Amino acid sequence: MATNGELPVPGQAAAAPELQLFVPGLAPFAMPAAEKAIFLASRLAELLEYHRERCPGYARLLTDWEQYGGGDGDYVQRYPFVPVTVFKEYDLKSVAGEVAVVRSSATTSTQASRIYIDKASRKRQSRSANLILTDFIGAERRPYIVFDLEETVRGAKAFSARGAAILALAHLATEFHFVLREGRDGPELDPDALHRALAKIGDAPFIAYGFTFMLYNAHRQMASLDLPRAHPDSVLLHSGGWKKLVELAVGKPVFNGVVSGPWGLRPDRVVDFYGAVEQIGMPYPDCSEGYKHVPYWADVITRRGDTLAPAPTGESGLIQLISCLPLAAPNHSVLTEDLGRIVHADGCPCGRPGKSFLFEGRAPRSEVRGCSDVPRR
Amino acid sequence: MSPAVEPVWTPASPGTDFAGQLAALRSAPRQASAGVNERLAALHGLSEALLSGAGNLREGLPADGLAFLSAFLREDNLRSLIAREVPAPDALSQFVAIGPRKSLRLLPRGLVCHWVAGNVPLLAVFSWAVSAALGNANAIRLSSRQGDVMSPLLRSLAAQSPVGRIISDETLVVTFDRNHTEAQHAMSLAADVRIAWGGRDAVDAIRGLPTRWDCEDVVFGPRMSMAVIDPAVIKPTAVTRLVTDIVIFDQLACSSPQVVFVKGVPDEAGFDAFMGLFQEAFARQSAAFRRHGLDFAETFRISLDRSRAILSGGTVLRDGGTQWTVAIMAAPADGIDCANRFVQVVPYQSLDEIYPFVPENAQTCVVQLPPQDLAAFSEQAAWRGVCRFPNPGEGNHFENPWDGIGLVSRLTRFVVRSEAGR
Repeated sequence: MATNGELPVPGQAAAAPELQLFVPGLAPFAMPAAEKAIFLASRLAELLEYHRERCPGYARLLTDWEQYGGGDGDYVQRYPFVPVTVFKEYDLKSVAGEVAVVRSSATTSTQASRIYIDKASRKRQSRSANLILTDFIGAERRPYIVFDLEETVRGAKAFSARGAAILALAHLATEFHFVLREGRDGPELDPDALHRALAKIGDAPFIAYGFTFMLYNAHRQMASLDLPRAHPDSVLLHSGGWKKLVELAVGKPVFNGVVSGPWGLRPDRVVDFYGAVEQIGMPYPDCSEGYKHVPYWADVITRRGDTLAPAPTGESGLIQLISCLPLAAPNHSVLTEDLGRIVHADGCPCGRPGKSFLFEGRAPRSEVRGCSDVPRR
Repeated sequence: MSPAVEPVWTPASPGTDFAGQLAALRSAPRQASAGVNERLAALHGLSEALLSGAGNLREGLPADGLAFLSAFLREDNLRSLIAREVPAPDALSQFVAIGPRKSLRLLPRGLVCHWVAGNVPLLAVFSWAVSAALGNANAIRLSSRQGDVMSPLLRSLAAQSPVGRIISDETLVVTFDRNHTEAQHAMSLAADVRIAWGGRDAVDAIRGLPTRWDCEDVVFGPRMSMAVIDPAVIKPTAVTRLVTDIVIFDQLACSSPQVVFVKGVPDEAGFDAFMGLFQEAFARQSAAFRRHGLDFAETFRISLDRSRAILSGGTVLRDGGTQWTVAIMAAPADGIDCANRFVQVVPYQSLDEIYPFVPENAQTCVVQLPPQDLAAFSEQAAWRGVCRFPNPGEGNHFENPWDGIGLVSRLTRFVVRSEAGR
């Protein structure tokens, strides 16, 4: 196993990664930077060999990477990444036999990603999401209002990005309340279901979750309902694209106002978390300062346009997401089409040590490049 | 007219607004202005100025393609381009006999309006020079994505000679946003000829503008290009020239090769020797020619396309960064975007293997083949859509015809006269 900052050489024995990835008793963001660098390099080196031996496509990508190098920087900055679109077009799998497949939402892309998940990965993902979210909203289990259809977590649909995101919070739930129904133009608020849920919850604090645009639509409808004030410790989480809201010129302050308003909650009780279907189990919620933090079993690197070299703190770049969780497919280090910037190498005022970053949206499409921009026909 | 029309170069006696300027340009009497010979001489003078760098002319102009522009503007070159298409070039000056009882005279069509794409900055100069040589007035809308390549040239031309001054006074250069409907309509309605350069969206937008019923349209639209090489007949210098054709405009030009078919098979001496030279030249020329700064989507695409090539069974040769990529593929992969110095190399053993991959929207096929193969291949590939077969190093050299279009015919009015008493 390589732990000295060098990529392992081909043919080196690939031990099965320890299933016990997490350090007992250690908070997700508490590992000191120097210790985290060694921890990550060790786990990532292990994962690289693990996936090389089991996934021939990934092995070919590694051969290229090792021949031409991953540029400058420390071990993690030079670690190979797979562009996320590859998971839409190729079946990359590191386990034999039947495994579950999670598909991305096809709302913003023509083709869905296919991410394989085995039992061991699912356990790691669940534990990871649990630790991260507990750090932000506490470990206390509460009633869970889901701004989605119940069918979204049933059967095959549970393996959609929406289903996976809903279930990522399941460990915090004492009971589920689904409050949307299928309408003529898609999912819409079911006022009866909402009233039934609130009657049962009473004045206890709750958690709620919905895809960003669905949560917004539902709360616009709720503005006309006479709702009781929520317990001030209640929290409303959301994730997913902002594209439709940007088209409606709805920014985060307006969004938070619309969603917190009907409940009488402070706007900061609305928490946006960033995540990707290629990195299930890795929610990145906003802290009180509006930034996202990286636990010790993961890293986030932003890469410059033009060169893909690591961007310095403060400079926007393409987001590379790294986590030690995936065992069923080599989606442990992916280059996304999202833009973000590292805000603090350390010292976020929220008190969490280590790196914090800001998600800045999808990278804009390239301008049409001219008279050569044409399919061969 | 909205102030959003930015004047870049304004003729000596402009109208009061953009529409007025266009009207003044179109209606100015040109019968007494300079003839074709004087115009060609003035453009030749501009070529000399570019060569000598007089008056710091080269400063502010893009370095890529400047040497070719200088060669293009030479009088003998322009005469040769005209002669390729017009059997009696003297008809540009007077009626000349074209048969026992007929004479021909070629006259300028009037106002030629050019919409220039931002991808190759010098494109505007080529179509402008041919049009001006033939005696037309010109209005040029530069892309907001490109610098002003016209003003330095027009300033130099105006200072050189009275005829140079006439040509520059017959030229209006502006820039405005592509969504500026009022300006787009004004320019289109004033045009006797519209020349549209660019991708599908750009040329469709221009073709959709209202225009005179007799306006001539010249569309240099979206096309792709390729190369076919036999390693047995290509010299190392020509390999470098071929790579320059690919690298020079970051493959943003429709004449930039995207796929190179190479005779032979991998691991065979001839093929591998060629690939060694090709790869070496690619690294060298990529360093020699500055690339535009890639945006995030372009950079992501390079990383993605390298992965696609590898996962599709190809072999990728590349630099350690994002400067250049050569993907050796069994067949051209449609999903791979051959832009920004990313080229696919496809081995072939028989020319017949190539024809299915020649698209109908092909433009240029750079060739280096034995004479017999060249004859057979060019005949077949021309039927399939290829418009030109230049040698390595000439892939991006603008010439007449271009895209299969004879430019002189489109920019002139053909007048015939029966000779009396014969």
